[in-house]
Amino acid sequence: MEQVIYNSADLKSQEYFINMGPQHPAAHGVLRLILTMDGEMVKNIEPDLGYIHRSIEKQCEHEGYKQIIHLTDRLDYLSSHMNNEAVALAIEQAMQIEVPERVKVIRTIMGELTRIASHLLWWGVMGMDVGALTTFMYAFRDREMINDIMEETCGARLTMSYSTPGGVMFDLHPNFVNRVKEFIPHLRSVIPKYDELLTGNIIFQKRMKNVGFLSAQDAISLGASGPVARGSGVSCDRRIIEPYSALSKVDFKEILYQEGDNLARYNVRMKEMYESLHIIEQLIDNIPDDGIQAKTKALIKLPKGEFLQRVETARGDFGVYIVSDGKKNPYRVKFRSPGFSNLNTLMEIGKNQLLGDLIAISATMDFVIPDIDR
Amino acid sequence: MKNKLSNKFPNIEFAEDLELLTMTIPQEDYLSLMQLLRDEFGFDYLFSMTGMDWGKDLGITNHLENTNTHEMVVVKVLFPDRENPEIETLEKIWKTAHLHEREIFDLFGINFKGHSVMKRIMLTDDWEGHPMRKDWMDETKMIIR
Repeated sequence: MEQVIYNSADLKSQEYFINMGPQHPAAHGVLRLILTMDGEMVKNIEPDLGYIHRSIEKQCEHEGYKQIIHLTDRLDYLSSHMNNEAVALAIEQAMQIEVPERVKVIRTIMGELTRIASHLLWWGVMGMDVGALTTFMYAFRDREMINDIMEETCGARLTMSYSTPGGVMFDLHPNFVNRVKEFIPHLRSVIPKYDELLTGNIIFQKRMKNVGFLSAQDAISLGASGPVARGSGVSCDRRIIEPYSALSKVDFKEILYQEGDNLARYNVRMKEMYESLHIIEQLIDNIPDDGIQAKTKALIKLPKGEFLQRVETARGDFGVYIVSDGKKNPYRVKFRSPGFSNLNTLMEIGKNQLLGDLIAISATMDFVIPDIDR
Repeated sequence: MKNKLSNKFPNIEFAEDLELLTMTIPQEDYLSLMQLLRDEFGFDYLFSMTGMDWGKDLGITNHLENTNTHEMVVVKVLFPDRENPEIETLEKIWKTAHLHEREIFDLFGINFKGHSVMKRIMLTDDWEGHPMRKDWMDETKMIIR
């Protein structure tokens, strides 16, 4: 029998397409990426958005300023408190309302709790994306404690709508302080266990180290923000650059890693949880008692002009840009979502990577699709 | 900085009553001014690009940040021609412009010359009109109750 011998130089590969999503389990929602593949290499990434596009910006043009806050929960539902706060701060800045100290402290504590909850969920699904299924169970167990705290005070577990222009919706529940104080040592004791379970794992390390490199220069040019940019050594924490609410009163570090790979972005979020706990610790014992609502008119009309407010959500630099023509509805509202620009980052650094690595990279980007689609 | 810019671009208009340094520039100066802002004044971070419908004119509002000093500037361009608004792409200056410009193209119908993939991104390819424009009619009451 004649034996056929293949010479690898004679074999030609052909480019082909793969649809990742809109229901891929690793995509955390309805993100569709059209991948141009050459063998197992990703050559090009073309996103197809809009599966959850609700045109929230257009809806805002037809709602009053108090109603808008409720729509912002539905952008990045894991940072809902920070989104609410951004709109409330923008309105207060425009109306020149001075909110009570208690409100500022409550907002900061709630914001940091939300950030921890978001990072916990991210850690859980991050592990799942690279094949470690146990992480999800642990992360959700601990995130549940924050959800319960939120539920008691805000009446909601995910879409809180707790901030209002000039204050917050309700006062803190009597259990709030004690439960937060129980939660802080609990989380401090479990994060080292998380590290033991996942961070130190050799398989995990191999998939994270030196994969998905993003340079600092590219991070800025691509508009990356939040932990993605800080993993590349770009200092961009809005909480430090322009402290809002009670953040000017607390002392905390900005977590920066210079490596720019998956592991750096992973480490930034893990360390950020400690910093958030540190912020809460400094505030929880001395919550001032001067009311939860500044006096506002029943119908809010912003003066003519343009107002921009930026906050640091769990995903990065979130901006609310309001153009007002003096009526009870805004003329135009733009939500600058961190996920939208971070998706552009993925399109750039995901090129010429293995398909399996693309999943790991997109996991460290921490996408929330309603935040991208708006 | 204001003086430097108005020397170089005489048709630039600065807004007086806004908190951030805001300028409105003619279309033909757009690309060279944006390039100058990044190269000479260090505005290396394109925070956002916002499509605008000012009623009569369409427009774009760009927010830029200097990542060293954290200063911000706002650059506006207006398009009196609502039928064929067109402008150069910023893709080569800031990579992040890629997605922002596609969103504006989709929702406002402003065309970007030289953009690598000028296709709709949010809506389907057979969608008629540009829903973020003020004159778009929401016949099915999809958004506006």
